Amino acid sequence: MMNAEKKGNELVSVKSDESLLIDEFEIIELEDRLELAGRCNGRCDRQPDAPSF
Amino acid sequence: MDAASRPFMNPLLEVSDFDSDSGKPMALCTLPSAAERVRFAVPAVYMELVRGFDGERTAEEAIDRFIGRHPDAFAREWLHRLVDESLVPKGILVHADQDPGRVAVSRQPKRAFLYIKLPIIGPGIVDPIARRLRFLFEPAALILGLSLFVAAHLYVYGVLIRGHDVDFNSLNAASILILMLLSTLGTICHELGHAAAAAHYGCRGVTIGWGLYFIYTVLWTNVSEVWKLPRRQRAIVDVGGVHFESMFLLLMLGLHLYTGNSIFLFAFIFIDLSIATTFNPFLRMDGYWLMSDLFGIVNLRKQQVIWMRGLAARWFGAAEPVRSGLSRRAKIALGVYTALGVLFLGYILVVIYDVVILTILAGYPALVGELWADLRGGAPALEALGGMLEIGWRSLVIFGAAVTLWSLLRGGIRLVAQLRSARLAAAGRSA
Repeated sequence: MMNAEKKGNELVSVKSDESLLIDEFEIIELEDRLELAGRCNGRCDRQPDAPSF
Repeated sequence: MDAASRPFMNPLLEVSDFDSDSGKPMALCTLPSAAERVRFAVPAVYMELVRGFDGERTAEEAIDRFIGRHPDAFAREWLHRLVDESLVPKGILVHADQDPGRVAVSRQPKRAFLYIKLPIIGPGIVDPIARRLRFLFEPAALILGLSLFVAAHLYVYGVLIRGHDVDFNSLNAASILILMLLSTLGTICHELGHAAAAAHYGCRGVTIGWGLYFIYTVLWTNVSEVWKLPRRQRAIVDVGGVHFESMFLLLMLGLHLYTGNSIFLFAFIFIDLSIATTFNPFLRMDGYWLMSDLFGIVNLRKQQVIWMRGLAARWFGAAEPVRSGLSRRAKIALGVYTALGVLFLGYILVVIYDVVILTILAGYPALVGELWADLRGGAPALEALGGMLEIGWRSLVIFGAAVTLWSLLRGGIRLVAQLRSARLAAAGRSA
C-alpha cells in the first residue's frame, strides 16, 4: 500500500481543486443531497412542442 | 503543528459505515458546523489513526502507534501531511483552543449546484408531516402504489385519451394558472415523498425549498441525512418522490372521472411528463441520485469532472490530476455516464440556443410591451397575473442560461489553464 500511496503522491502534479470536494488523501466531502423536481411554469401553453394527443 | 502538540478527535464527530463502491472500506464522518452539517467519506483505516489522537498522545506518538499497527502501509511523512493538511483543517481532529461545533468548514457553495436556492418549509414543519406519512413506505403500500400507478396509466393512455381531444395549446390563461397550481401541488407531494421516505429510515432535519437549476425552476428537498443509509435505502428515498407524485396522479384521475373536467386530465399528463424528466440522470434530479446510489459513486458530477480531467491530462501528456479511488465497475459506469453526459450537454446547449436565445430572448421585448399595454388598458387581473408570471419565468430562464454559459466558459478556461500548468510541470520534471 505504501508504494501505491507514494506513487500516488508523485503523480499529483496539479493541486487538488477544492471545488471537486476530494483531496489527495481520498477524503471526500459529500455533496448536499438536494432532490430536485421541476414544475409547470405556465410555459405549457406557448411551448412550440407542447404535447397534444 | 509542532511535534509536541496534542490535537484530539473532535468530540462531536459522528462516525458510521459508509456504503459506496469505493475500492476500499469507507467511513462516514459527520460534523456540525457554523452552518449546516458537514459530511466526509473517509477511508476507514484513517479512523484508527484518528482514534489514536486521545488528547494525551502527541501527534508524533499517535502516528507512531498507527504505524506500529500498520507497518509498511503508509510513510510517516505522508501521515503527518494527512493530519496537518486534511484531518485538522476538516475539523475531524481539533486543538484545545478550537470550538468543536464550529471548526468544520464546508467547501461547497452555499447554494450547492443551484443558481438560486430559497428554503421555504423548514424541518420544524416537514419532519412531523414526513413522520406521519412514512407508513406509505411499508412494502405493502409500495406494491399497492406501483400496481395502481401501472393500472392508472394503462387506463389513461389506453382508454381515456382516445375519447378526448387533448391539446395543450387550446388552454386559456385561467386554465394555465390552474395547471400551474396543480403541477406545483404535485411537485410538493413529490418532495414530501422524499421527506417521508427519509423519515421511514429514521432521518430528520429535512428542508423543502425553491430554486433555479440551469434553466429550470424547481422545488428541492434537502435529504443529506440519508448519506448515512445503505445504498438500497438511499435508492428508495430517491424514488420516494415519484411514489408520492403518482398518488397525486391518482387524485387527478379521480377528480377528472368525478367532475368530468378536462383540466385534471391535462394535469395528469403534464405531471406525468415531469415524472419522466425527473429520471434523467444528467440533471441532478431523482435519476442522478438513483444512478449515484445504484452504482455507489458519490458526488457523481464531481467524479465525472475528475474522470474527464484525468483523461484529458493523459491525452495532453500531463500527470494525472486527482485520483478518484473508484472500483473498476464504478469506473466503467462513470465512463459510460460521462460519454452520454457530454452528448446531453450538447443537447442543453442546443436547447439554450433554440429555446432561450431564438424564442424567449427574441420575443421578450414584445411580451413586456404586450403586458405593459394590457396593464394600461385595464386588462382583467387574472390575465395580468398570467402575463407577469410568464415574464417572470422567462426572466429566470434567461438568467439561468446566462449563468450556465458563463460557468461552462469559466470551467473550460480553468481546465485549459490546469492542463497547461500540468504539462509545463511534467516537461520540467523530464528536463
